[in-house]
Amino acid sequence: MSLAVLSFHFRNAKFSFREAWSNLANGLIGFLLFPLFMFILANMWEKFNGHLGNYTYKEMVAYIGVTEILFITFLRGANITGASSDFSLSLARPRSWLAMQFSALYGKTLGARLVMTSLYFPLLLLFGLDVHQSSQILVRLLILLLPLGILQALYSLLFSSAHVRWEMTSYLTLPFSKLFLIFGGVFAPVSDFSEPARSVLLQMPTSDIFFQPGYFAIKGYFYQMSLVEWSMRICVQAALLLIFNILFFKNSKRYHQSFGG
Amino acid sequence: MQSISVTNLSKSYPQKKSNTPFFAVQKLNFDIREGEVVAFLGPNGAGKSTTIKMLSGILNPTSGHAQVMGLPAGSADANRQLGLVFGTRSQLFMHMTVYESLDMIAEIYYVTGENKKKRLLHLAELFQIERHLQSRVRTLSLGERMRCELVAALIHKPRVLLADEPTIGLDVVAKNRLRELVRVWQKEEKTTLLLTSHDLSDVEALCDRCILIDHGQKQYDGPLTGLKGDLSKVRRLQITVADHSIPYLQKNQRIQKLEDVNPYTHKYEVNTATISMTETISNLSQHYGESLQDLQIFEVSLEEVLSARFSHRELR
Repeated sequence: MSLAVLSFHFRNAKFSFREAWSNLANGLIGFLLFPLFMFILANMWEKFNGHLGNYTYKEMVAYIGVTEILFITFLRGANITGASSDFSLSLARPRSWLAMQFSALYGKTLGARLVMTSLYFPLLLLFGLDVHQSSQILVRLLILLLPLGILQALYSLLFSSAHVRWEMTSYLTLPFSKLFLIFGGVFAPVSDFSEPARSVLLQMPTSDIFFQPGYFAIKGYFYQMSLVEWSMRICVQAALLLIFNILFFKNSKRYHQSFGG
Repeated sequence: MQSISVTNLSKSYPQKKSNTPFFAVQKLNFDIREGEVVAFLGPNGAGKSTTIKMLSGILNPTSGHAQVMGLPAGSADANRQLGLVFGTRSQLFMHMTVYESLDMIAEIYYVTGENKKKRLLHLAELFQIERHLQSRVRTLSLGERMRCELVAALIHKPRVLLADEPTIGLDVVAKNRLRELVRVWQKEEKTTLLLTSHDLSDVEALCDRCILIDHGQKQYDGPLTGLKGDLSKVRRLQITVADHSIPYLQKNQRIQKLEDVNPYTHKYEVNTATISMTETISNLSQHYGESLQDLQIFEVSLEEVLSARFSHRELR
């Protein structure tokens, strides 16, 4: 890939992020809800799971903050017929559709997560965590945002490329994200679940992208797996998603009919 | 050189209730020379949009092939030569300013640096959108947005422009303005234009040649006047009289009476192959004498021609 192509995709990612945040009202609502979710969910956890003693209240505040940052931005860019340019027209451009969509989704996701993270640090201090602990959590989160952004963009892209082929798949975005919400440990850490649910959920991709990053951010290591193991699992997911994306997209040029008139 | 070349182009889809596939386009053949302005006509479901999708690489053909400027349609190189405007779709970024949108679209088409700026400002002037450049796309009226869409489609100086219903939804003033701007631009850049429109006044204003398709197959390819066939010789005369008690002109079989617009306004139809206009006007003025106030002559509109052609068409 040449430098000019990389530079274009960087611009595309930046443009996509700016477009997503050009409507300030949407962004501000997210900002307002974020601390509220942290407060409510952390208190709910303390009421129902606090007696297990696996985490302190402050750790849980930090954990909920991380999983919320990751979940609020999960699959949000998959709606390709919305605000941004029309997807069918973008198929007729002289650049790779998959690459352009990927860089746009990556920019949108990573940008949104960085904005949320900038709010996260002062919130941690507000919830009573000290500067040292908050800084450690912040650095760990920032390290994970780059690879998780790639995976997130590939998940969103999967829905975009499936949508070109099967228009109805756009309705699956919401239930799919709810599955990740339920099984990913967004509300409460998977490690608090009783057996056999805990072992099953730990093997699912959902916990790799929500529970494990949250756990890593507060503890500094992954739950029952090494950094290499987690990285391998993320790479396998990314490779599979990439293959599905290519297959869906190639197929779309043979069949999609949603552009008549 | 041919700008667009289509050879035995077909697109079929499998059908759920039948073993035979459904052909949206079937063995279509046509060539368009560089700089030609061609109308691509047909009723809904005729296969126009499917053909355009195949020319732009949005869809792959089932069989046959198409070329744009000698390059395989759908290839990245062919798409660099192609501009697209769809009246019902937008390629602008709704929440960004017009300038930012056009700037990004130019980058997508590899137009960068000083060239990009010059081209953008030139087209902004040509299509009269300079004062909208810093406006958010979502705040534009439909007419303003369509002018911006045209600039977006032309920013990379394409050799071929495919325009699908570019004036849909526009009022008469905006429509006329857009047509005029397209005419000026086409004269300046000599770009090949393939225009699809259900508004035949667009076609009559801009195109000399027309390709007519139905059920995915070509029905006619030639000059617009040829599409009218024998109807091109038919003229309608609308006359206004001061005295409505004068009976219609009935003796002359070659001048046929049509419906009344009102008691003072009558309509006649003549075939100029059988009676000259001079003779017709002479007959009418003799018949109505001093009472004749006004006389207007109309050709059969393209709309009527197509309507007559497709009125018995089976829907599918």
